[in-house]
Amino acid sequence: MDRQGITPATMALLWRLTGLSLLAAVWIAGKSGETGLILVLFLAVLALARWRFALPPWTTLLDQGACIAAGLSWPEARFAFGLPVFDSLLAMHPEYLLPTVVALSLLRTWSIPVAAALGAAAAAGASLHLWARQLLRVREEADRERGQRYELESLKAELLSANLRVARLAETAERGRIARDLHDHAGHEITAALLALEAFRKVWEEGDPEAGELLEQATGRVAEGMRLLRRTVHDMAPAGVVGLGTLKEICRRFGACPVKLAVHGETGTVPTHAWGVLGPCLKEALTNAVRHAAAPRIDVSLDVGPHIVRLCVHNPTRAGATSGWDHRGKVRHPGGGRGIGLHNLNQRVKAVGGSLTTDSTGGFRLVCVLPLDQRHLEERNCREDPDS
Amino acid sequence: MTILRFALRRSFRGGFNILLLCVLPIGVVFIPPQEGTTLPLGIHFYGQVVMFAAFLMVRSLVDDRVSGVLTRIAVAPVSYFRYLWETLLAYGVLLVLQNAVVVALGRVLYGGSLGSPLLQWVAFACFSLTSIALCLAVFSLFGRRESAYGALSTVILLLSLIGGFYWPVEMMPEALQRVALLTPPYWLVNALTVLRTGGPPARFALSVVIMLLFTMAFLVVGSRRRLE
Repeated sequence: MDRQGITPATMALLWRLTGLSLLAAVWIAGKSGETGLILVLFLAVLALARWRFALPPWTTLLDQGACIAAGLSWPEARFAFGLPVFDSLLAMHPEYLLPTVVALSLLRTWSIPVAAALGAAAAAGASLHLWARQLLRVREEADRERGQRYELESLKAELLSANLRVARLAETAERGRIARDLHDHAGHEITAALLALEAFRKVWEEGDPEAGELLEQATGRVAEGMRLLRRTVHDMAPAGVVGLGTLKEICRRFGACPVKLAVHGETGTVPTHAWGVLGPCLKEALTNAVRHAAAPRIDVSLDVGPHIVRLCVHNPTRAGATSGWDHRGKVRHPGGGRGIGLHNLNQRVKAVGGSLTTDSTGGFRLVCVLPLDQRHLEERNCREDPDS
Repeated sequence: MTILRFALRRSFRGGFNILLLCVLPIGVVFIPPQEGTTLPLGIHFYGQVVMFAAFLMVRSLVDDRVSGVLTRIAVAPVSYFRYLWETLLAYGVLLVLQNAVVVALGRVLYGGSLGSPLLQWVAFACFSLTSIALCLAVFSLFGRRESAYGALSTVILLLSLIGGFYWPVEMMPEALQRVALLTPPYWLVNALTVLRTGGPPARFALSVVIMLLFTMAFLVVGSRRRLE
C-alpha cells in the first residue's frame, strides 16, 4: 500500500480498522438492531477520513457523541469509545476525552473489559504519537544533514573553481614577472651590448686604439646579459616535475602492473590547471584498477587536440577475474556503496568545465576530457605569428 | 465541464457499454416475479446490473491511470478533485437516468404494487452512488488493471450473493443474515421491500441513510490519488 513501508499513519489505520472489525463482530454476534451498524459505519467514515485528511482533534467529539447516542439503545457501544480514545491520545489531546469519562460514569457501564479496551486504545494512541514524533525528529535531522552535505559540496565546487581562477592568475602573474625580468635586466644589458658593438664598429673602422676596450665592454655586457637570462630561465623552471612529466612519473612509479603511456598531440598547449586535474585523475584510475579490477596491464593515452585534452585509462579484466565495477562503471563495494574517489574526481573535472565518464565493457575504461583554454591558445598563436 | 462531457460521451463508446447501460436494464425488468420473493426477480437483478454498470464506467478511471492520462491531467490546469468530481458526476447522472427509466418501466409492468415510484427512484439512486463509490474504492486499492478488475468482479458477486440479489436473505443461515446487513445490496432490497409491503417510512429512511454512509466511506477510500 505505502511504498514508505510501515509508518505511524499506516499503523493508526490498521488499529482503527481492527477496532471497527471487532466492533462489527460484536454487533453481528449480538441480537441488537441497526443502531450498532449505523454507529460502526459512522465511525468507519470518520476513521477513513482521518486516514485521508488531517482532521482536527476536536472531531473526536463527533465520535464520542455518536457512541453516547448509540449507547442509549445498544449497550455494547461502550466498546466503541476505544476509537475516540485512541485518536485523542494519538493527537495528544486527552482533554477531548471528557465526554467519554462523563458518559461512561453516568451510564455506569464501566467494567473490566471496557476499562481494558479503553486502556489498550489509550496506550496504542500514545505509543503511536511518540513514534510519530520520534520519526519526525529523525527526518528533520536527516534533512538537516542532507542540507549540510549539499552546502559542503557546493562549497567544494566553489573552492575548486576558485583554485582554477587562482592558477590562471598565477600563470598570468608569472608571465608578467618573466617579461619584467627580461626587460629590466637581460634586456638592458643586451641593448647596452648592442650600442657598444655599434660604437666599436665605428671606432674600429676609424682605426682608433680604443676599439679593443669597447669590444671588451660589449663582450662583458653580453656575458652579463647571458647570466641574467640564465638566472631568469632558472627561476622559470619549476622545482618539481610538471606537465607531461607528472603523468610519466606517475606511470613510472606505478609498480602493480605494466602501464603503457601513449601521448598524441602538442602537450605544450595544455594549461597548468589542466595538468593539476589530469594527474590526480590518472592516479585515481590506476589505484582503482589495482584495487577493484585485477588488471593484467593498463593502457593510458593522452590526446591533445585543438580544443580538448583527453585522458583515457583502460584496464582489461584478467580472464576469469571478477570485475570490481558494476555495469554503470561504479565501484562495487562490499557494503554496496559507491567509492568517494570517483565522486570527488568528477567534481574536480566539472570545476574546470570537463567531463568524466566510465565504461565497464571489457574491463574498465575511464575517460577524462578537459577543454583547452581558447584564450591561452589565441595568445600562443599570436606569439608564434605576430603579423596575424 | 469539458471532463463531464467527455466522461458522458466515453460511457457510450463500444457496444458492450450501450448494452449494459441501455438494453440490459430494460431487459431484466421484464423477468417475471417468482414465488417466495417479495420483489419481482427483475428488480433484484437490476441491482446487480447497476453494480456492473458502475464497474464498467468507473473502470475508465483505472484506464486513465494506467494509460498515463491521469499524469497528463496532473500537469494540466485542472485539479484532481475536479477531474474526479466531474467524472463521477457524469457516471452518477447516467445511472440516475437509467434508474428513472427502470422505475417507470416497473410502474408500467407492475402498476402501483411496487410502492411510490419516487421513493423507488431515491433508493436506486442512492444505491447507484454507493456502487460507483464502491468501484472507486476497490480500484484505488490496486495498481494493476487486471488485479483491480478481478477483485471488483469478485466483490460485486459476493455482495450480490450475500446481500440478497439472487435469493431472499431469510433463506440464508442466521449468522449470514447478520453479515448481510453489512452489505449495500441488502439495504437496497430492504428499502424496496419496505415500499412494496408498505412498511414504516423510518425503515425506508434507515436504508437510505445506511447506503449513504457506505457511499461516504467508499468515497473517502476511493478518492486517493494514484498517479503511477
